[in-house]
Amino acid sequence: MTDNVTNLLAAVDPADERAITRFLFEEVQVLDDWQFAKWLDFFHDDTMYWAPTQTDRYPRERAKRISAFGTSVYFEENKVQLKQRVDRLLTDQAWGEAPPSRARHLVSNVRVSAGEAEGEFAVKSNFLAYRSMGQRSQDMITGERSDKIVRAPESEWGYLIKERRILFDMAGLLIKNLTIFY
Amino acid sequence: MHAQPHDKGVSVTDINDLVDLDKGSLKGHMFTDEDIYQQELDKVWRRAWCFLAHDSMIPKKGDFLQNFIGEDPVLIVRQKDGSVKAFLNQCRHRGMRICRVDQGAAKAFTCSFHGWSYGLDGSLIQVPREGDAYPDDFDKANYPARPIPRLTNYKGFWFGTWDEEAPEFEEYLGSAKYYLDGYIDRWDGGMEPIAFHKWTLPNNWKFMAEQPTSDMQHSEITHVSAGQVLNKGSDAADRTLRGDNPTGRQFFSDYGHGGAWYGEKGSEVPNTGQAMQKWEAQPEIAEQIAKRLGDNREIRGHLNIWPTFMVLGNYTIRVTHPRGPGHQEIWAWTFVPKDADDATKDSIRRDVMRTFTPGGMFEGDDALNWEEMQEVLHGRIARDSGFTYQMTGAPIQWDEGPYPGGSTKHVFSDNAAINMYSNYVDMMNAENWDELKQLREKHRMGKSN
Amino acid sequence: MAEPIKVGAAGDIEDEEALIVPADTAGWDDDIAVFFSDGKYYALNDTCSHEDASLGDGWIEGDEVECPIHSAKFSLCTGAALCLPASHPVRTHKVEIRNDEIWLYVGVPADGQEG
Repeated sequence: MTDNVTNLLAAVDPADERAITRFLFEEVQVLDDWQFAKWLDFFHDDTMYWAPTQTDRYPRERAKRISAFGTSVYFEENKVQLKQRVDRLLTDQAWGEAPPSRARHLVSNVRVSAGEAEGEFAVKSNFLAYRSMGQRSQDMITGERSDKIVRAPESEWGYLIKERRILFDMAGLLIKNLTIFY
Repeated sequence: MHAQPHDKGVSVTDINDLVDLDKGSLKGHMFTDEDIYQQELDKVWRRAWCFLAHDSMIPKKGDFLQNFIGEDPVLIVRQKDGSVKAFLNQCRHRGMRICRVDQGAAKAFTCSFHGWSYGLDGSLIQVPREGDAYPDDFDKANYPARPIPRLTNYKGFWFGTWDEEAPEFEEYLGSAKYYLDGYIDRWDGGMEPIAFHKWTLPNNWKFMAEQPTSDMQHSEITHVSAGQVLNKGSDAADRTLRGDNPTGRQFFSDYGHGGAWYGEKGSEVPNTGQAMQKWEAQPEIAEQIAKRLGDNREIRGHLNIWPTFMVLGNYTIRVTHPRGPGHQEIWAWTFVPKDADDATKDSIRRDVMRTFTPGGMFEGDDALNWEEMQEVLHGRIARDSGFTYQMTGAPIQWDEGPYPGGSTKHVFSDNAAINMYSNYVDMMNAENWDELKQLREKHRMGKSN
Repeated sequence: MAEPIKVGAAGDIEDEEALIVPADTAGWDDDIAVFFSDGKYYALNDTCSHEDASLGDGWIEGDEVECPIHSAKFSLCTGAALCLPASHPVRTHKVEIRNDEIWLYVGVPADGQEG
């Protein structure tokens, strides 16, 4: 019997772990550079990008704290819908982001685990998205991403995000909107 | 009326110095001044009917929701006998918040400070050490959580007011009833919320109130980016159908309510998603609507019941809570017809989520406007300069055709905003509801009395 | 020892619910709460040992009941206080099902208990 860490590390090829970590860093660089059209290249055509909401509940109802897929969500986007969001920002008329905010995503705690199928990986990472805009406005939000990432040798980056679930670390949102990507 | 001195000889800001409705002019101080804000908590939020909960949010005995009236947290609770009661979420002992979760099921509400415990109806049912540490004449019946004395269920929606002299809710709605029913009373099975979002914005609450009352016009410019990507291949309403020279109508109602929609009678362009339109076009549903409303009443665009109960045609229904003069907290629910099929419900939910929630492609640009308006009002000249309401070209009509009360035969107008602020000023001036009713009679816009 | 009293029929008490037998009816110095949970019946003195609250109105799950007022938990089997703010147990009473009827033995400790 081996310990948990040894088992987790043994389940994944270190080369994949290194590559996927780099993949996630390149993804947020593209976001921070406002290269949103390129950001779509990180996503599988069948992707689902979604984010539940949170509420405060009694301990006996703790199962209801985080909303389920298909209920109260901040995002629930397929690839076409993600592209609509990107296209909106690229009109240069999305006034809330024109002039654009200055964002910086810090991605950390990247943990790559074996997925359900060959070539598929379950990836968790934490993020802090800082943003400033206009003259005095700034906000930041942290959260956790649970990704299903698949190896895709023909793709731009060698991997594609098949599913992303973003759990923001807020119940009532204390920042004014979620108009960038996470 | 001039500035009244405080007890300590400090001037109180007088709203009448800040508003000139004949000129269509508001000074910025009414959106930034702490004193005006405190007056609002007293004169507006203590008096108005405010949305508390929908029946579907608290279906079973013991179900509850924490909401707000102004800055006062309140609990709305389904009682054992099926009725609903609501009370201030403040312990009568030392003021601790009694219930600190957003919603749930309870058998009692116990304060986690000293253990004072309240029943589902807010009555004080248990005080630890009552027997030996309290005098014999201590009576728990004197210390219930403060009840909201007036509650009303309007077609499934619970509203409450602290003011015992407030008129009945339907009188408060006035002519707005016709329009509100056109959104919420269409289907035999009623409606239910299936999603909820909550977020804070750095701007005065009245910016949020004014927009669904009176401002359809901003959409063409503010939301130009969203219109471009969502008109095709999305769950949203097709806004291209509104045309280059849109027709429509705006209404306003005595106690500050207002709203508008696109299209002439019989060829309206509802602000409603395609799935909803398709579901309602089914003969049995169309028949329900016609039976309930008298005809297939189509008035769905935007609407606000003062102070901040907003309804949009795509069935986002929200309130905003004031959080000081410079902040607000929006609570928004997505409502669907209970009897709709799952695909229709899901389409409505996704449409609202992608348009009018924190990640929404419309919502973000509204937030930007309001934030910048608030920021600029830091300036003294800016506050003195204020805002102007001049879009009053379309004449006011009264009881025109099927449309009760005041309205204009144009979807774009500042009339409903001027009416909203007229009611607001009257509330700030009136000593009580009797006086408010008289002031509203006197100030009724565009109708000689 | 007094005769057992019939409280009701099996099925009268829903799962994770309780029926309260008034003290007068039970001939006891406290109301008695008869619980039904996970297919089993239990009975305890209804009044919480911490403050004046009804355990029969509490949250029932598995073989535990949580007082609805200050959240003290008790074992339905033994009446033991499982957490603060309660530190004293409540009395158990024996419950038997005979011919689909619920019979309460007031004052008789539940099987295996000493009272």
